[in-house]
Amino acid sequence: MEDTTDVLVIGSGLAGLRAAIEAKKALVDVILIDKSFLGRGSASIYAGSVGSGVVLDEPPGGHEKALEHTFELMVREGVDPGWDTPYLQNQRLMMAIAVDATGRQAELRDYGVKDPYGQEWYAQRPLVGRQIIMPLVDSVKRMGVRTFAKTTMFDLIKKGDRIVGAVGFDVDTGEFIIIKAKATVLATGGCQRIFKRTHAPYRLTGDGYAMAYRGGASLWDMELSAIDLVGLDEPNLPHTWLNPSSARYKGIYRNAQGEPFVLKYLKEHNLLGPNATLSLDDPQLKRYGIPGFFEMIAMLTHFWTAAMKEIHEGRGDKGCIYLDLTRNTDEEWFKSGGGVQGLNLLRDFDWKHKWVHIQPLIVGQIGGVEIDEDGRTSIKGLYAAGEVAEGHAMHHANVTGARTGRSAAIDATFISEEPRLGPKECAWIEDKKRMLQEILDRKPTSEGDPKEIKRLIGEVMWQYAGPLKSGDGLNTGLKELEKIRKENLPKLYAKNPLQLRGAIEVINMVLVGEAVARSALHRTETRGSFQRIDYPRRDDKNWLKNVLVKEEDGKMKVYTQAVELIWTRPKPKEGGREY
Amino acid sequence: MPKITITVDEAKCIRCLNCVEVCPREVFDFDEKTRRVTLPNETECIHCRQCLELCDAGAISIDGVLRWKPKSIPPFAKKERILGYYPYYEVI
Repeated sequence: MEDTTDVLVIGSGLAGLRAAIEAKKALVDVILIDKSFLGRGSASIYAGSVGSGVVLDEPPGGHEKALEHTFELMVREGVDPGWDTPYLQNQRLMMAIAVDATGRQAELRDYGVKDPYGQEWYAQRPLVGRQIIMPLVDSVKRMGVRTFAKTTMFDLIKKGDRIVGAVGFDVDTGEFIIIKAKATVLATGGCQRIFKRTHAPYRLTGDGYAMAYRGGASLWDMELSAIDLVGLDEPNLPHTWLNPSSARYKGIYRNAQGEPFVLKYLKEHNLLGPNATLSLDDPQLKRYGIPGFFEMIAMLTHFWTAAMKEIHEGRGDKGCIYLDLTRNTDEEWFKSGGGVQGLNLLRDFDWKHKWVHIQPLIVGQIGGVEIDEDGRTSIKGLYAAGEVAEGHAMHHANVTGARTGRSAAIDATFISEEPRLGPKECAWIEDKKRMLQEILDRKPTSEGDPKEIKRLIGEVMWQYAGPLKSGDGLNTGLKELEKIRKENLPKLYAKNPLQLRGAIEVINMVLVGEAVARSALHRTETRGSFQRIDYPRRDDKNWLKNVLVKEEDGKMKVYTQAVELIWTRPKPKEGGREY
Repeated sequence: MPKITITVDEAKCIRCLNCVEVCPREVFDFDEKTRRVTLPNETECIHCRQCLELCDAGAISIDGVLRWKPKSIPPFAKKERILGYYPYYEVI
């Protein structure tokens, strides 16, 4: 099948849906494609993903003050304040998000979202995003966006220095699909699935990063992942994230000897607040004297760092530490939807008498395709929005999606001639077709099983490029990835088009894994949620820089670029204490 | 607390495999030899209920999930000035 359109949107999470809507509003032809069901495989349907940078009501000191404060927090702690990447964010982009977020969120009402501020769907986790995503899917169809579900796009067509569309195939029939577009928007989500331990949906394998990379775009700070400590690791419980709830925050982290090690760690690093009660009966906020909500979330990094160090130094139990929830009562759990959700995850586990095994897990990808504040990448005709774009996108999908869709549509209207493919591009497409056919023709072997290779990549990435990184580990990880590339990828097989999608994901995962490991190797400091054992200090003098990777002569080129400190810059510590 | 159990009614199942496709945690699998939907990772279920929504035949059921219904709109929505990330409001 061959088709032509103005704006092609790949991925149908919140960012993709929003981009398609905004583009359609500019009266251009739009195609929206997803490799699974529309909206269903995205992180946004599980997480909601609209919260970032939103200012509610009329704040004290006026709206301007609130904006400043929000922006400051976003730059200091990352877009989503949970996983900090101090002062590495693109400040233009962050300011655009801070200014735009509230309005964009209110706009969701126009597309059938009953309550964009989330009071109603608050109780219904883990599918909180459903009440946002499903109305948007309906709106997209109603507005006349052409949608293709279960269609995997795997590469971008490049003509000269411009992206003019993408190629892919239908997952059910295996039909090869070429879509020519004046503007292509990537909204394919993150790459959390390259790590073994994550709670992200199964399809987040980083296809967008790989496509953009192969298309010549640069990837920004791929080494930055968002990590949280409370990933359940019990044999009969889901290996997923225990939601934040008041009951969880009453919990005590303990090592194999039963010591509450966080307290020790915070004392050593001078991180305890002046009003810390240090009583284990109190919730964590009071216990460690954390003044407020944002500070608490910035503390999460210290919690998991402390835990990883315990595990690293051999005071863990089978690579885990314990979460002691025994001081909770049933009422504590039933206080909120998150609590009930947590209780559901714990199932018949006897948390009143036993400690739960937990281990950190990857919850989001902070780095991504380098974009400007309107979602334009470094390559003409290519745009990115949501988690695939830079910044901790997990919660700014709504804003970047809307902005990117709009700029893509505007750019497309200024291009008068239809995208056409020359002989060179046609030859390239034939090449791609042959590559797919080769994978389909191969005989099944144990080394070439896509599922098995995925597992292998997950293990390698978690072990060598997981939360605590070191130079030696990363080098070993790169060697292991190279081994997978040399030994497993040539044998990669697929029995049917459905499995072919998995095979394509594997190819992308190896590439993205390499980008993550190489960027991490390049950044020789510890900053926020990026932790290097061999470089344990934050280095503002040399590392207020972003690490970028780019394809050059078939090789991965790693280079740095100074952060533009336009609006805010690191301040000296107050009283020796810094969150 | 209850144990969560998933059942796939084989008589109703039309083998559309929507459940296998949509599950974010690979709870379902399809056994090509017996032509049955199997549950290799039942314990991984996070009861997101997407499989229930997409099962046209109504063959899937999930038991044992607790539900929480707020009596009114949580007060934080009015009190808090800056809403960064709603789930954490439970913390305060």
